[in-house]
Amino acid sequence: MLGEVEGCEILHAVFQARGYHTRADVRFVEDGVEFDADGWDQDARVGFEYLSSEAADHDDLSPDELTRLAARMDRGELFFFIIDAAEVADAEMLRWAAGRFLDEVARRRGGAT
Amino acid sequence: VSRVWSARQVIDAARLDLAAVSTESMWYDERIREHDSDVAAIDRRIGEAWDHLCALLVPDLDATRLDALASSLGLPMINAAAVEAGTRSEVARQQALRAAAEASPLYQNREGLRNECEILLVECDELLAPLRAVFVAIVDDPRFIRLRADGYGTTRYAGRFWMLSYYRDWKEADEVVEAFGPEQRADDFPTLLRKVDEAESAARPIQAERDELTTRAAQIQALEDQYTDATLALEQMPQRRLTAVRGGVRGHLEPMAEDRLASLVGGGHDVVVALQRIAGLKAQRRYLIATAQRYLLEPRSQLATVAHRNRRDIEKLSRPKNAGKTFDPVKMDKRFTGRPAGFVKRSERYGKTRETLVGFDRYERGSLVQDFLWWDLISDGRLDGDFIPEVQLHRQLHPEVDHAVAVAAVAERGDASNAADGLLMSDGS
Repeated sequence: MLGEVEGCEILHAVFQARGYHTRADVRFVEDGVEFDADGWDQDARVGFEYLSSEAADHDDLSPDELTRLAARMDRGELFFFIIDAAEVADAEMLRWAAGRFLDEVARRRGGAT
Repeated sequence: VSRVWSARQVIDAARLDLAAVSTESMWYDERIREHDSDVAAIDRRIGEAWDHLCALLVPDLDATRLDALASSLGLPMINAAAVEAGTRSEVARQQALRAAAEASPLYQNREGLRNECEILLVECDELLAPLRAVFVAIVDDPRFIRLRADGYGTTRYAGRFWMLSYYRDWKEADEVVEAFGPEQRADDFPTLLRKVDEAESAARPIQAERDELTTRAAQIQALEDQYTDATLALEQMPQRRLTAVRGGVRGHLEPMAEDRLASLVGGGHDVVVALQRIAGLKAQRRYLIATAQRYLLEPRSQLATVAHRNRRDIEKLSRPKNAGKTFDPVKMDKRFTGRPAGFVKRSERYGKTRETLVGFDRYERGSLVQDFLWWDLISDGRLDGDFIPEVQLHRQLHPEVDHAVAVAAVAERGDASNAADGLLMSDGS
């Protein structure tokens, strides 16, 4: 299974290759949701959060916070790619999924990054 | 005077001893397997000897004989009335089973129904084959199983575009369609899912019908077996009842001590010989087990300690700081020469004792009195049996008996016609 450190490196590389300026460990505090985002581009309002037991991140984002984030994503206000470490088969799969996620973000924003 | 042993000599001897221990270990394992087989063979012979004794005691179901035996054994369950009642009850039970089978419409129309079942089963299989071809391989695919359970491709699916699992499902669904889609003419997962669902739905009632037909065929077979078994039981009823009575007698006698057994049933010559055979076989069994314990199991359990000590010394004495050490030659000689010599002696004793025990078959020379020692007869006074508790105890209780003379007396007696007198003899003399 892919570790969180390696997984985050892959995600930063994929996001940055698509033109996003993600920064690591950014404190995100908005609308009752508060956590340290593993990757976040404040200007583009696109990022990712890697949930893995090794960092006890499952405790950082509560189900309620995830619901609030999901609602904002549905409205197109921001986009967080949420990865459960237990579901990452390998690096290739993670790269492919991150690419498809960013395609979807672009589609929802009418093709703009 | 032997010279002291160097560390190198001890290491070399310990290595040779390790190899010897390994060979000995294999020898013991082989002998233990052989011993198990000896005991199993004796057990079979004991069983046959009991069958023979019971056949002598109950040669048939003659009422007078049964009553006499029931009375002498104190076993009312084998008196003529009880046996007759048991036979009537068993006959009635078997007749009822046969009648129940005959009364069943399934049994009455069995030929026609079986043919019908066979034809319909073939038809079901023909209908199922193309449907199964659609779903059999797909429904066993772990990706398909998970995606289907999660409702992928349906409105039940809860995956969201911002979750990694959404893309994993997407990828796996593509893989499933790539693997199974072309054959089913399905370009996407929902189409494939629909085709599988349709095939399964179509197959379900046919499969249910097939299961019903299989159950019916099994019921017909069970009724036929019931009828055949009951008919056979009725045909063989006298022999079966005789076997049951003999079994009852055996169950009653088997736990008894040999002298009690002899006083109860030891009237005729053939019966006495049969009792002697049982007593002798049981003694052979006890002695075989004690011999294996003494010459195989106990020394075998010590080999691990010897091997451990050899390995430890090889390791310890291989260190440079121990290279100059010397060792007492007497102790070393005892350890590396005495132990293997002991094994050779023990293995010879075991071989000889086992051969004597297994080969013994002169049961008619034995006696059924309580203090008769079969060991003396079997070993003919030529083997040491003091390691057997039974032999040891006998020597303590009868220090006055010259066992060589006792054995000779038994051997001289020889003539089987005198065997019944053994009941009155002590120690075979």
